[in-house]
Amino acid sequence: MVTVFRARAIRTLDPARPLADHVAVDGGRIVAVGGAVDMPAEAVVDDRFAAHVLVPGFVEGHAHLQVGAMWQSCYCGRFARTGPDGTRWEDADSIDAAVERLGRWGAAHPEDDLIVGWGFDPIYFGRSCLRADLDRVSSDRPVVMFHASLHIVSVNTAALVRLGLLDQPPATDSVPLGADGLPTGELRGPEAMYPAIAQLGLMGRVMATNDEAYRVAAALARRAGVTTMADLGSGYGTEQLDALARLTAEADWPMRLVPTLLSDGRPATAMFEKADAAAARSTDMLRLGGLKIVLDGSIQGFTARVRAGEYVNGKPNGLWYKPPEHVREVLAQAVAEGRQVHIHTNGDQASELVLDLLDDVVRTGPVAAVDVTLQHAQLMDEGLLRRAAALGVKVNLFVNHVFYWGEAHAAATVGEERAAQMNACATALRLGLTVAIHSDEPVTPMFPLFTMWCAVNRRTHLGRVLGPDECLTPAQALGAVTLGPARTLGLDDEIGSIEVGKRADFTVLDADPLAVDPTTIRDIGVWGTVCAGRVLPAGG
Amino acid sequence: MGDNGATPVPVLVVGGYLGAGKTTLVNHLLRASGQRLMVLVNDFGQSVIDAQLIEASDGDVLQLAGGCVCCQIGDELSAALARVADTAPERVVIETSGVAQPAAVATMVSLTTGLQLDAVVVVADGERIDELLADRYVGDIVAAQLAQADLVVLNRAEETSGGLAGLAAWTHAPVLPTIDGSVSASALVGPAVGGRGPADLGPADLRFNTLRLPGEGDPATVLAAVQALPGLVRAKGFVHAADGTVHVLQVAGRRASVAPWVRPGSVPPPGVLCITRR
Repeated sequence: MVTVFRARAIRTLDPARPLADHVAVDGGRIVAVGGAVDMPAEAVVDDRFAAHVLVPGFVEGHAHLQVGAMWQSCYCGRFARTGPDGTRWEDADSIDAAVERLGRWGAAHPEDDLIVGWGFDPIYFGRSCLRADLDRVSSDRPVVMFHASLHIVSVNTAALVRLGLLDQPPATDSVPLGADGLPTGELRGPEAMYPAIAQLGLMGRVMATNDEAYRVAAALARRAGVTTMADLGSGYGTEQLDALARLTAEADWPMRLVPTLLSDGRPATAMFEKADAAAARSTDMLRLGGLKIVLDGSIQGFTARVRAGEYVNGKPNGLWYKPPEHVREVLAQAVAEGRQVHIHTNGDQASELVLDLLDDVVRTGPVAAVDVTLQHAQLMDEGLLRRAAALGVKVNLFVNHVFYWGEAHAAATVGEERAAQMNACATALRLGLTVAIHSDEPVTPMFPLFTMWCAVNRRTHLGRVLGPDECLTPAQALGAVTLGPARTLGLDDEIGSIEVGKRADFTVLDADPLAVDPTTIRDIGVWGTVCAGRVLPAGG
Repeated sequence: MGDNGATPVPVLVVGGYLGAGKTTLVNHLLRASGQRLMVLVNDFGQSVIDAQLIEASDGDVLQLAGGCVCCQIGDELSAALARVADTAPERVVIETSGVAQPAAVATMVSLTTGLQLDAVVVVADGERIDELLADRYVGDIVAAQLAQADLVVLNRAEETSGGLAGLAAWTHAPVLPTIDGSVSASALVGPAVGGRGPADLGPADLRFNTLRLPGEGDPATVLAAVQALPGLVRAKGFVHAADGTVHVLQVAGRRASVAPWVRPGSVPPPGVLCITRR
């Protein structure tokens, strides 16, 4: 049976017919797009979107299912955030506010031995959250505050005692000491954080590996209007794949999920073998088989690899998380066999290294296809983007950074001029690259209208415009949250635009993002989505 | 930390860039350490354990001669470390990935219950080290690895353009030159003192001397005397202080500690066994 959705407007992103007001759907696919006269005669007309605007279903090209686990703890971030159940969590605009909120959480969850917060970012407060702060949350229950970076935790005295660290801290920068010779409470870096959270029994709570966490992530996606989400960096464990296969087959599962395998540094042949084995389980709603490499760290954490050799505040250059030899080996096989690879390169030196390696691979080896996306790619300037365009490399830019960390980048990491060039969306489009923009949820919230707003307005959290020449038009930004990420995932023949033959994935909005005042794009209401032809209200 | 009275398992971290010879060194330790080792490697494909040593293979675990095991762990080091205590090896050897910061791995070890960091050994390939140190992408990482070493093992030492003196600009650790990757196991894991370990250095190994110091008096003074020995590589032993307390003394290149001996049972006799480079 054919269903015709009539809407106030439909932004199709099909250059042949960019604007429509009817779309016909049959068996989860689009069979007609246009006006009333273009619709098939035998059809049921569904009028519920008559006052709404349809756009192609949003594609979140870089997020993490891990967010589902984070919401099982207390959100303590600097900016308001909406939880999976629609609850609005106000901003914790000071360390005191975060401490007070965590105290209330602890009181409300007396059955829990631990009190756990997440999303805290010291960059806004001029200092970190320390043991003395968290001792005000509880003196007897261990308190753990995850920083927004997910690379540092702050803990209270009770936690340090349980870890055996209060009296005998090891001599390492990862466990800084205060003037009293005792640990300040910060455990810095994975090398300190992971042993501590493992010993406190927290690993399961921060790694999304259960149905409940996956359902939370799905609920967030549904509220954000996301119909396809890439879980960019998955373990592909057997139990995990079983759970995802089961959940995504449920009748009301709201999004297509694209988990890519995270390289753990084993030889390329072994990684691709594992990816292929999983890919055999792919369905319409679950797409497996892509590979991701994390090459460097983060800019605000001073662990990204920068060409300047150091950061403007004098911190030394960052870290390689995988050796260049591993990246080259993966690229050589991927290019020879036409496989899809995503490489996390925050710093410009990391992006440059991938381009150097790819240049060499393309020149010296067999080439079936280059299907490489640089993820984050925040510091690529025109020269690097031009090289990427020549090689057919795609970019998924982390434009939410302009709002959250733009001021910090200007002041401490790369300086004002480079900060204004960061996430050079307009330059990348002008050079003809495939451009996507993303949230990296849980690092920043998954909400494509907000990401569009960042790309269009480039305002920092202080309201200042940072890099006006890199602003996108609303139409370009809409493409960067739909067709652009669909291309990076190799799904643009199925999703990303509203065209006959593609999947019936739509985001249903209260207003037209291409017609409203561009400074209000982030405020547009999301009614819900249509995914594979199924109507899914945001809160349902 | 928090070891509930059980003896913590000593951990040797073996770092160094890709191709430096880390696996050769690990194979040598498996043959010569005289201990039940648990070796943690990123991947069997990259760290090829000598076939002669392998007795059985079960997925991610190889059963090796002499009760040793080797596990491939990918990126899951912290999870693997948390499980070490279950198998109670006499020593853990971690072969790090080529770009890892060995100091970070050492921190993870020292924060894991039941483990005790013994030393960070960084392996360098004499033929490639100058080129790597000058590489614009990884030069600073290779330099940091050398700077974080307690001991440096220099393979193909004769190929180094600047020789040992050149390497001294990058590290304060003792440098142990070798031709074929085999260094005295005693120098790497320490002399056997009151437990199983490598056989004492024999006259065959002309590159090292052993020396026993009395181990009586003020512990800090004894440690200073040990550290003053020219070419000191390793030392281990017990110091009996004038007040009757007993202290355990350990030196691994740049890493030195002296701490009260608190374990129950018979008191070990005084004496510090030292290994020095000729």
